[in-house]
Amino acid sequence: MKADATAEATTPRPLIIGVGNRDRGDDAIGPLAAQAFADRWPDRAEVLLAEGDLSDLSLRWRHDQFVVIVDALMSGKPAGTISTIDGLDHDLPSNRRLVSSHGVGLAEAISLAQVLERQPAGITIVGIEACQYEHFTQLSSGVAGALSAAVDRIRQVLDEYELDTVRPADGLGPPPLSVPASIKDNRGSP
Amino acid sequence: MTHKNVDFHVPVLARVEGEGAMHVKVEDGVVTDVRLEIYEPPRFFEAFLRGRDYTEPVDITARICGICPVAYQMSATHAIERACGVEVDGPIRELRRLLYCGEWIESHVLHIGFLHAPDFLGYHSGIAIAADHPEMVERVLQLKKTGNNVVELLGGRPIHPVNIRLGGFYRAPSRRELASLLPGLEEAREICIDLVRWTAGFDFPDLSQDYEFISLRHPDEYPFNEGRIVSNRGLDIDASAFEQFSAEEHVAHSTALHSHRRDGGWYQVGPLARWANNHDLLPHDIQALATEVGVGPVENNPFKSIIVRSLETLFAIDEAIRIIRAYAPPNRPYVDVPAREGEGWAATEAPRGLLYHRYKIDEGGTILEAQIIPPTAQNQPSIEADLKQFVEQHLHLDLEELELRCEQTIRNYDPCISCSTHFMTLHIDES
Repeated sequence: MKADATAEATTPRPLIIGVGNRDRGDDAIGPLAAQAFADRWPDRAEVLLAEGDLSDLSLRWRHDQFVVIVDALMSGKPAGTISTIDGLDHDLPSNRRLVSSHGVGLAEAISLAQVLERQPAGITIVGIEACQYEHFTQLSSGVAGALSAAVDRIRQVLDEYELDTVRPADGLGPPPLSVPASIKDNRGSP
Repeated sequence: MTHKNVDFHVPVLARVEGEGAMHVKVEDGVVTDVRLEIYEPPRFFEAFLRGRDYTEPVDITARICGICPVAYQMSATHAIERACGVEVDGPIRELRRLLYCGEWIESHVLHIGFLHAPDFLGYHSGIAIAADHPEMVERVLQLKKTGNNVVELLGGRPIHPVNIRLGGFYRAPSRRELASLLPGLEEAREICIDLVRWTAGFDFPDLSQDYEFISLRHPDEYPFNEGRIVSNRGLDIDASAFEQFSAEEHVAHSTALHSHRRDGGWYQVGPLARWANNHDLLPHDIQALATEVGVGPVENNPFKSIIVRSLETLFAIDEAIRIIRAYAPPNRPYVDVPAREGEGWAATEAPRGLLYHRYKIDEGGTILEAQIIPPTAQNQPSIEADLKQFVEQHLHLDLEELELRCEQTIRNYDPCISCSTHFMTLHIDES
């Protein structure tokens, strides 16, 4: 596993990446939810907004960091439906469903990180089902109504991650790095 | 075996901003129909700009493209400043060139490493290259990050910069801040030289056309922001005359406008055009490297555009280093640009070619007219001409190979619609 030269010895705070174009309708939900989380809980995580090509996403996280990616999702479910997906799962849907509007998309960027052994400790994708991506339009009502729930879902994912990685009381061994149980295949629960 | 009758129909371009398709038809060994059908949004933006304040296009047009926002910002600022009778010089002008350097590095490297190189190496994506050549892809990523860093420092963000305004910048960087970019740029320079040699080692399909290459030409510098619009066939005009030279037209098979010469014929913009019209302005060591890898002052094989992009990336790195070393911060980060009634024109060099903007504003600064002609619209006829010639000359290829080469022919131009690892999924109907 490779680590950036700037990596510190301590385990870093989780990283939340809001993916999407803020000027293209529902595609804005990723940056908006990530920013809303940062405004509400500024000390819980680093927050990064990624609005274009994602080819160098792997340069933005550390190998020992837990990453939450918030992005618009297209899978045919009602707009605003929130899903959580293990981002390091090999059957991650291509970005025909995870909507990234330009350049190398999210699924490809994560695959690239895995090929280059630059994946972080864990990636959870919080996907919000979207329905329209026109330039200079607002969020659809369904997606706008899911913003608060998306922020809560990010918090829930971080809570569960932290519960799973609490160092045992006897202090034996490093904390386990595992994907929280609730994010496994629970797509569709709003 | 040589195919007599072929009909490619490509209904959907996947993972691109906008939608498009391609159709190639061959009857009795003759290409009878080539259509690149794309749908781009600039018309929408022009309508959106009308009635807005003259300060707004700098931000609004940046959002047309996630890969080349700087180009849109620069063409918009230059055109509106010209309408207002303002010229920007000195350190602010240099910072604008530096910003453009960052965007060229970002955009060119993305295309070279992830979108175009797979075609030459027989991979379906940049990720597949990474599996076999991780060191090269790591270096490509590092190179791209260098460009990101330049744009982020000057623009405030790596994508859709927010620090750009009419007259300059909201905030100018300190010398120390800019100097922090130098180690990365110097390292990137060495990587880029390897990149040039790597791309030059690819096998290039045969294709050569007698192109009319159109680009900016400045008397003293390889062009980013300023210069006259010239061609290798004698065109030499100010940006204000561009719409008298080039016309846009609707074609039945596309919602995107096609550009062509008003007096007939098509032309090409982009790296090969800049190279042909400005080769003499490049530093001698880049000219020498080009000679070493077999690229002359004029390159007519569009497949070799990948080498020229690598060479232009090297130039952008060198130019960034030069600007940073000579930088002295301006007294103010911007000059005032008071509104006045007028019309302004500008063309700047987006990574994929000449990007023209025109604005007409009233005395209060309200935009009355806006016109944007992006490089991809100008290159569509050239792409179709390449496809036609390539298919005619390569009907002996098996169909799968022919399809792949057609996609590659389109990707030679780094069209905005192809900002993805796969340009399209082809469905073939062989008559």
